[in-house]
Amino acid sequence: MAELWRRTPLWMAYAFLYIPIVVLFGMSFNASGLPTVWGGFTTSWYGELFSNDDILGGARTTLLVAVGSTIVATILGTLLAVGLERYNRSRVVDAAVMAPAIFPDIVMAFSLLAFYTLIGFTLGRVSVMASHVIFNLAFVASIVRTRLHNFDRSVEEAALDLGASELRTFWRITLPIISPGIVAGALLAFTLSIDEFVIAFFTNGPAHPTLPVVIYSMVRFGVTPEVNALAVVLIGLSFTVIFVAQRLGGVKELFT
Amino acid sequence: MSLAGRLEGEEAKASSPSSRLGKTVTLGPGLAYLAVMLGAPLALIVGYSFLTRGSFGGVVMEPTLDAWGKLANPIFFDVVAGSIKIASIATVLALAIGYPAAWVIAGLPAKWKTVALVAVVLPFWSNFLIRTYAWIVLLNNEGLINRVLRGWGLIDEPLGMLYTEGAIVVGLVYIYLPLMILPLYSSIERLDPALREAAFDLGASPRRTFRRVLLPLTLPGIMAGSIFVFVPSLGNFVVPELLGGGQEIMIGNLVRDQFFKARDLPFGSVLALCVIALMLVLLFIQATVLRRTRETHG
Amino acid sequence: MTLISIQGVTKRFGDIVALDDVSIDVADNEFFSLLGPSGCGKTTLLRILAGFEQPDTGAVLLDGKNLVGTKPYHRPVNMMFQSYALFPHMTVRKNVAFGLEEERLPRSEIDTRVEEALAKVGLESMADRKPHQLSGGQRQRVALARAVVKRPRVLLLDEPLGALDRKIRAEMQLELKRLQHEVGITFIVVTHDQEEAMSMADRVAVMHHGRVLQVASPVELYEKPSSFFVADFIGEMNFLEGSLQGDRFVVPGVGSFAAEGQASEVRWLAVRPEKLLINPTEAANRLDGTVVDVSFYGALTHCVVSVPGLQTPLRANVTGPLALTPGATVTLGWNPSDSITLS
Repeated sequence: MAELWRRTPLWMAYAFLYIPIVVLFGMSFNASGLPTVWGGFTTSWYGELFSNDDILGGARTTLLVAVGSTIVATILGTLLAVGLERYNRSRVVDAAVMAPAIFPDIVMAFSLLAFYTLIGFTLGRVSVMASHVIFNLAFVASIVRTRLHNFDRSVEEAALDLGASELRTFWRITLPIISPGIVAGALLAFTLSIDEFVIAFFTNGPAHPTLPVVIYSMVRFGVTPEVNALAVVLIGLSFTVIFVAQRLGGVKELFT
Repeated sequence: MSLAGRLEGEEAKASSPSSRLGKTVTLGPGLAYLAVMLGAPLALIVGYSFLTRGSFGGVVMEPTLDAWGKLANPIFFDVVAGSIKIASIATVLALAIGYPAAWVIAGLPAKWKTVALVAVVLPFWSNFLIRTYAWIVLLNNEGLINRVLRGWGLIDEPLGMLYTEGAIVVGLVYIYLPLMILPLYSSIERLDPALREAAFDLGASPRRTFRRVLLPLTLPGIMAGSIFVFVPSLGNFVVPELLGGGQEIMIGNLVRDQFFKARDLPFGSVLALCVIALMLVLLFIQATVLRRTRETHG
Repeated sequence: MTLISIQGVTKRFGDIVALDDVSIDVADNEFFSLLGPSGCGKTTLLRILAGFEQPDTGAVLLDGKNLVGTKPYHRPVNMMFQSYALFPHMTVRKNVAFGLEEERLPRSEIDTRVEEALAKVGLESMADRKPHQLSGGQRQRVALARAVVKRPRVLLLDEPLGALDRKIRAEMQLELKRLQHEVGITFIVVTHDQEEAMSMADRVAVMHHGRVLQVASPVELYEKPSSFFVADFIGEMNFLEGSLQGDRFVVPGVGSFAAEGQASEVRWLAVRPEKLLINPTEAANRLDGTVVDVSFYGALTHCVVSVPGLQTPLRANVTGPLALTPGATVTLGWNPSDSITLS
């Protein structure tokens, strides 16, 4: 019993973090659509999501952008991880690769928009995708790098010793062993891209808004019931993806 | 491993032809991408900050310090100062909530630690628009908190919680709290439990032990967590807008408006650079403190 | 017949000289050991033989052909790593088959040879397990099988027994010797444990600070060490410090002793503890002292004697129990033929 008492600060933190989410969850089933009145249980708001063209369009766009940026970021990020862990000795390069992950998104968004305008890059799904790759590759690189760091290099030497060239060693030995890290990194990049708002907002352009941008325009004018349902769906999706990524290992090491 | 063995590891990174090829193949594409997509835009806004605003937006190639001068304008200056104030309060609050929470997690039995950490991080990986939105639901006059308080008869009139600075602070803390807890946890976890006992043994009360021994040793975590909360809070425009009522209260809103409303690229660049400057100052402070901590604590 | 000839190999890491003009010849079908304390360069030499390091100067000849510059995967040399380095994502069978697959051999031949190798190390029943499901000893045998299946000219072993428990270690020593005879491959074993080297190897190279001090059979190393370090490193030894004058070794303040051997600039007189006789009836050299400690180990008794004028007490080992107690006075004696002079 004393245990639970001593753990109060943690419970309070969890309460703070999760009560809003629980509230959203509850409200998404509220038929009245108002937070103050309980109108009965319904799933109609979820149904509404599927008939809302803006939301569906946003979802499609977001998915495209997320998949595209994840693929590119995973390839670049994995290569970077290998390079940083095996070949690089410069702390500057190290910091440069990790920088996008902690860079304030408003600065990135603003400068990217200025840059795209200057070079005449059409704003649309590709511009958002390209922008997302920037911070995604930093996260992928970081996670894969942790995997590489804990990797027993003598296994690679054993492969070389047994007759495999450097390339075949990478393909048959290194890559399979670090693949859980690569997948975890990819899942993380995917989630980040789906949820990302600020950079998308700046670099999206008029057509094909991403889902967060759609949500923003809906939310600016107050509480709407469909948004509750959408919120729950998105939260559920993020939770699932992160949970899977966590299982594969590597996400915790990112922050500890 | 012998000294020679350890040195071999270093030499493994030496520049032989095969490792130079490896370096290019692995680091080349990624670094090139960053140079173009991050380096170039940043260089661009540095340049813009010294140019003149074009009449229809865009820039005119006439160097000037006008944009920087605008910072001195009390209106804008107030916004910057106000942003720093709000971000600081949010950081301190996050620390107040996060430190005890992290402490508890560090004390959990091993099998619960990962679960506890994942539970902390999970909310962070969902859309922050939505999480901000959740607070609109909670805080507004018809919102949950007011309804509960009125239902219990504690208040008669709804508390005007939304569209206040306090709401912004709460929103910021809410979003960035996980980023405070993780590095704190990491720092606390590394503490040698024997240190606490040694301090008790030598006569220090729990409070003094905390102040003189444990707190300084967890300083790296505190600094990291604070930067993770402060910098993003500073640049955030969604929270001030949704929870603060849409007025230009923080730097983030200003930056957004310079591009889309005022079309003042030079000044927008100046503001963006201010955020970076603050970030670099904090990182520098952090590095200095850490270096000194490492020297004394090993 | 010489299989491997290491000639004048030098290797530096920054300011540190890991190997200093090392030259060693290893015979075909020989069980050879590189012995020395941490940092003596033995592992570096092994890695140069395997191809993971390149020497700054010198050559490494295998059957007369210089291997320097050849990649590890092109050498007929295979290594058993200290950490075993088994591929964690592959079964035992796939681990052992790996090297053969890289040789692009036909599937049937690979399967046969893998089964053969597994049988040789006694792991046929574990073939479908993954490394994390095996014990330390089993993992080592997989590592051995994996290297041996490729039928290399030379097998390099890096501290093969270090990670094993005492009891298993003794078993593995016999295993390795048996295996070496069975497959007829030259083994080069790196170790810091002199008992391992002495019990397994045909010949041993003792290394220190990057230099080879002596290359000889275990018996010769024990009975005729060529330097102070070797004499001290191998087994237990008593040392008397002094100088050679004529045919007598003079220890100032203690006495002079008949001595054989003509090492120039002689500084040490060395005698093995088992050659020090206690209260002998006949011995050319004698010293009186006081017993400090008597320890009975079953087959042997170790006796520590303090001698006035000598900084370190002398150690004498006798078979069977000894009827002496600490404090008793005793005479130690030895024959000149049992002592070694060293510089």
